[in-house]
Amino acid sequence: MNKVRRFEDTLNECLENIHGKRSTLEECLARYPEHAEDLEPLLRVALAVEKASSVEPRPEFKAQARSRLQAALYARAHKHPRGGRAWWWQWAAAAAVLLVLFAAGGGTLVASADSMPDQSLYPVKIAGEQIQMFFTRSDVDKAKLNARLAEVRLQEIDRMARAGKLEHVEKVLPRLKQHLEMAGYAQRIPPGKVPELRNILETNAMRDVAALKALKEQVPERAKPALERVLQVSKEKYEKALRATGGNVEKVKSEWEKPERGNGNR
Amino acid sequence: MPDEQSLVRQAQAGDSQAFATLYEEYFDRVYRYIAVRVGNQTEAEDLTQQVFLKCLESIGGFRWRGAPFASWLFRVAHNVVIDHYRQASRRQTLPLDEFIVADESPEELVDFKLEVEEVKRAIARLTDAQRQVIALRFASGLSISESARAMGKSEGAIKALQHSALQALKRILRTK
Repeated sequence: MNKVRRFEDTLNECLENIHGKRSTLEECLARYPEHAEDLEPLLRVALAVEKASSVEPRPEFKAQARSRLQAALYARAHKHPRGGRAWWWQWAAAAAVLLVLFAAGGGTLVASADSMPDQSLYPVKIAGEQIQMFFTRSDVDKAKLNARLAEVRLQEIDRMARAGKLEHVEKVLPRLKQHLEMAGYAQRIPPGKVPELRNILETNAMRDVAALKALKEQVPERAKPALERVLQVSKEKYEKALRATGGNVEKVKSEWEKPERGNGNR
Repeated sequence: MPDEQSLVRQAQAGDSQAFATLYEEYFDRVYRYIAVRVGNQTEAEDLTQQVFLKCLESIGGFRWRGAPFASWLFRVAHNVVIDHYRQASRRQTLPLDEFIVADESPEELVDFKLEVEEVKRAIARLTDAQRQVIALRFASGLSISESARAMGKSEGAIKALQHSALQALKRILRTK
């Protein structure tokens, strides 16, 4: 039993090394000469299986599936009880989706663009952003859109903090965190496109942290802890995004250390 | 993919963008898994869509109990395939030309397609458990640990299944 188990471990190790391009088949056989006679045919079969399994979904099918998922996501985001304001809310949501879909390119959100978290059309604004993100194709454009949406979230936090509506500051914070996380997701971005994203992140990181620090000085005492949380999340996520994109973290952090100036209005 | 755990939690909370990110990450892998399991393009497409719609419906019930998200997702995929078998109660062999094959030049395609057809027909003759482990390990690239959790078996059992599947394929291909 032990001898059989060791062979299965050896076979698996060789499979993983060949798949991960850490070894060739010949190198595996040379490493385990006592098993070579049994290993070779199985490894060759495995290579054939891997090749035969490397099927790709049809582009037309992928597009169709994506549309179907988008519809399901939209339906899920807009579940609401029957009666009451349902009819006009549905109309507003559908109109927002149509306006987003037919709007000019470049990240413009037409419907509900100025809605704040304490307003009734805010969910429509968020749904529109999510649909726009869904239809944004390239990874670099998604990252840039997330950077732009992080800015939008910070504008919302500014307005809510100044209005003393701290519960809405707390509600927006997870979305801000997600946008900053995704803005720095550079793993699948072509290397030639990373510098542009990096420049955006460096600029935004310095501007946004300075604005948050200034805002924190202007709001009532009870709002400061919430803004401190926003500040810490922003710094943490911007630093992570800058490291992922090869940004000048030290330069940005030294800007962060400078004393606040300006009135921080967004 | 940044912090899969955060993405899953956000998707569970209703964040469509987070779910869409998970969808993009896993779509091709789930498709390949199902393609190997059922051996038919039309059925693979339909079932792949079903997997993600079911995932959307049930992601709220997923719990991080030491099992990665991939294992849970492929368990959903397995259940969709099993439901399909129950309804269809038949298996189709793979039409030669239907699947798009990755990265082959025209000159290599003729020989390659013959080999692919042969291997796919051989896979169709495996037991369901053997075919499942082949699909998880080779089509979808799950690790031994992830495959073990997806199939509800030990890692040793997965390695044994993997070994027996490759042995069976070797026998089938050599007797043609």
